[in-house]
Amino acid sequence: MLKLATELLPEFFLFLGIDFFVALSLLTCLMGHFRRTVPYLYEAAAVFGYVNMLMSREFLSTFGEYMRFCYCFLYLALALANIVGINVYLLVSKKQWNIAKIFASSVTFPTILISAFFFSLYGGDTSHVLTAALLSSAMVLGVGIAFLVGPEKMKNWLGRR
Amino acid sequence: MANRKSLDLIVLLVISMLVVTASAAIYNYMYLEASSIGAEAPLVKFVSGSDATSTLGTNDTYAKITDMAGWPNATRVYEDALRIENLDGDLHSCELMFDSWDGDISNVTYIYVKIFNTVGETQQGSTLSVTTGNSTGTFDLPASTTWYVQWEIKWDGGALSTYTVDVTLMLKVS
Repeated sequence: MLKLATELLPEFFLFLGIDFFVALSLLTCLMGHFRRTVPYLYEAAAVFGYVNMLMSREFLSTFGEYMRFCYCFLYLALALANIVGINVYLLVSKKQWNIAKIFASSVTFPTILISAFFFSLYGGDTSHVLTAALLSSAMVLGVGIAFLVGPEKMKNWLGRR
Repeated sequence: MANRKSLDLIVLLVISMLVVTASAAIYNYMYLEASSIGAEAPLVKFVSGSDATSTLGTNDTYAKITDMAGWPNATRVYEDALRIENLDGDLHSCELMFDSWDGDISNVTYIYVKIFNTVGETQQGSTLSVTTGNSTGTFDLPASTTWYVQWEIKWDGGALSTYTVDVTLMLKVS
């Protein structure tokens, strides 16, 4: 019988977050809707994740699994929030409806789906509610960040509607 | 402008590759470091039966039946020679296998070992024949259940009371 290897370390979420930040960095560089510093900021966030992983390795025996899970998942949630935030920024602030749609279907949705899949693998059968709650929180956080990025334009846009 | 963007992209690509490769290497290293081999309490153990005396080892994972004897040209049956108990809340697949035997083995007609759910009830798995060296095949021991090991011994007609054999079996639990 085929069995899936489900023994994921909490640092897997950190690794996933690093991947997402790296992808965001390259995408924001390619898209041209952002300032030049934005891709570098995302790259710095990825490097910060790498430093986190180094720290996690050094303190593997000191930190409990719960603590490691907390900061690793927080990092992943931040990466997801940024992805959602970029999506909302493209939609609301830049009014690039088509690009936002493509971004949502090719980046935002797959990344959330991948994260939910690995989270459910890590947590086992009992984590479905927590998975949904955490991912919903990440999405709400992303929307909130988008409001912070362009509050005036958002107000205008909402006012016009 | 386009050149600057290309340059940015190349720089970001190089940094990205470095960061991702290094992170993957560290994760792999941590995975190996965290995958230690631990010890846990046994889930299946031996219990002495009522028809024979057994010496049980530490944690009851080893059992030595000390006072069984067969008759010449007649079958002697120990219906409750030893018991196998599943302590776990889950079912476990088990297989009782022949390992080795020595002594006056040329005078043994047969030694059969069978597993029963209850003494005299339904046999589980097939018959282990010590003389042919086979196994009981895999049988599923349900959660929190004790099953019974039955021994059937028959010596040849000319066997003397001084003759003995030592039989070693192995219980595989998965």
